Amino acid sequence: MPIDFTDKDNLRLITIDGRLDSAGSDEIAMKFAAMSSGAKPAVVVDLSQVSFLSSIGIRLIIQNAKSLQNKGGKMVLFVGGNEQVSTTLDSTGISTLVPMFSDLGSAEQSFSD
Amino acid sequence: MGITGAIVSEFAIKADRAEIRSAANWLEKTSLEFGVPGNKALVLDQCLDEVLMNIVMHAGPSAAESPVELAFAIHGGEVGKEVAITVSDSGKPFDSATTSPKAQAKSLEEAEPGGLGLAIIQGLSSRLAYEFRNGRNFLTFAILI
Repeated sequence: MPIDFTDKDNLRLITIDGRLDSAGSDEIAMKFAAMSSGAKPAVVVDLSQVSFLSSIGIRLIIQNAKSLQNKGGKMVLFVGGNEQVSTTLDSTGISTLVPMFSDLGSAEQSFSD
Repeated sequence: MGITGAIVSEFAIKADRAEIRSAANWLEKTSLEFGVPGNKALVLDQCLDEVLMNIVMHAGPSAAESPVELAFAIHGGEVGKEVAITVSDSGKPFDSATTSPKAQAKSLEEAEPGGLGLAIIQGLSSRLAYEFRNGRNFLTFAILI
């Protein structure tokens, strides 16, 4: 289950690829927490290549978004055209708690609003 | 005219988090074999993952006493074809079909991780049915294809 990041000024882009079910979430949990632990205050999580998002994967996103917020940072989600992921985030109400964008530029721009 | 159809495949796993991926693989293979469209197979996959995680995390020690049994059925009725997955387990009785999911948090501060599985199962299924008999939970979730 690949997870990686790139930094640009104060912004970190974390890219997750593959199946974010219970097994996939277990695989990336520690790396995801470390990558979003506040080294950069603005974090965009790229879920556009995630083929499957379960409630366990959402739990991971919420935990890390809360943790980052408690340190004064902010997390947003980039989903691109990934309908499975955006539908799941919308139907569970998570997209109202952690802002979700279909366009990467808008996701990055949201930190300067 | 009622619903007609039959179980076309069965599978069983232990109530163990490490075995959930094998159930997903069985579902993917069976869906492909019986021509379930990819987007519908993904919905079934998602519901199954949530149902199995609920059993593993919340059904208690009695869930580990016997295998979790899965059945894949295809029904044909007046309104079209339906794929129904029935999951049976020996855990404590829990009706996922009618239990209300927890209320959605209004802010990230008050959001508690967990409790989203029921919302996903109930939101994605076109039909849900539950019964408890002979010491086992039987939950069926179905989607129209």
